Amino acid sequence: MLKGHLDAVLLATIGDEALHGYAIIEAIRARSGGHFDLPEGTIYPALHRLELAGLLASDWVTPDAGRRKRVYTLTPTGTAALQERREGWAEFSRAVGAFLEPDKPWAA
Amino acid sequence: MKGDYAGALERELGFDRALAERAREDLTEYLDEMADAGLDAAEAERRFGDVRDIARSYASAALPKRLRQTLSVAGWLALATFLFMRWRSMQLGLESFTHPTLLGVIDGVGFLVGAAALIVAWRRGCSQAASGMRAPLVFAAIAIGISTAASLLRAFPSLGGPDGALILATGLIQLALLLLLIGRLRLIDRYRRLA
Repeated sequence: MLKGHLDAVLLATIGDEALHGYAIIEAIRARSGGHFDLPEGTIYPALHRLELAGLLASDWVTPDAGRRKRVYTLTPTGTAALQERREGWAEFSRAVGAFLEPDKPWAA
Repeated sequence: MKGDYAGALERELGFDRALAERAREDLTEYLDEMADAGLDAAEAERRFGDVRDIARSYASAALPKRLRQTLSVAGWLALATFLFMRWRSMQLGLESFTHPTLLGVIDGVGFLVGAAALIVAWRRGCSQAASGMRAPLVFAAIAIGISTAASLLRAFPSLGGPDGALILATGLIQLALLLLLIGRLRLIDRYRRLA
């Protein structure tokens, strides 16, 4: 279900917040109401890919009490990519909605 | 058990130390989170996913960047080689232009074709999937290999002469470029086999 949309979901989940890997997994599960319950290990390489593409930055953070964690934030390029994907998705969902929800015709 | 899974992941990614290290760090962080949540290691590893699938995902993630790094290094080396070849021609005078030898033509044309293939690989890397860069890289390696062979064959008969050292130096720089391309292509094939 997430195929092709994982990058957008990851960028939107991180948004303006700095999150570590497992917090991102939990946020995706919570925000999707449990629909996106991926093998958890697939999230980490995807985050690494987005980092190598310059869309995310990561930094080690050590809380006062606890282990150090790699925390991800959006780069300016990542923020722009997220905005672009949001606009693309809005247009796409309006277009598909015109077929699946005939009471809401697409106003291009 | 934790060591087995981590070891297997590192072995799968053993061809790229930095990537294996990154995967190990991510896995350790995840397993620590799971341990804090009271989950046993075996269940945590099951939830993390199949080792080979995870290794494949890391390899796919890193491949485009590794290809671009290869092209960047190869591009600078090709430029340096080209500038050295031009300087060599200036040192040798007009003789090499007015009376070109067959080996000289193969050397020059082969190199230019190889450089053009590198540019094609670069353009493909900018506009499409990284996998499209491999074919022009292989072509570049073949063309530069032919050019290098011609360059070295030219150098041997004139080694004792005043121009021998210059021609040999050019051949050796071309050889370095060729070995770099071959080495990186072998590495890229390791990624591709896994990914």
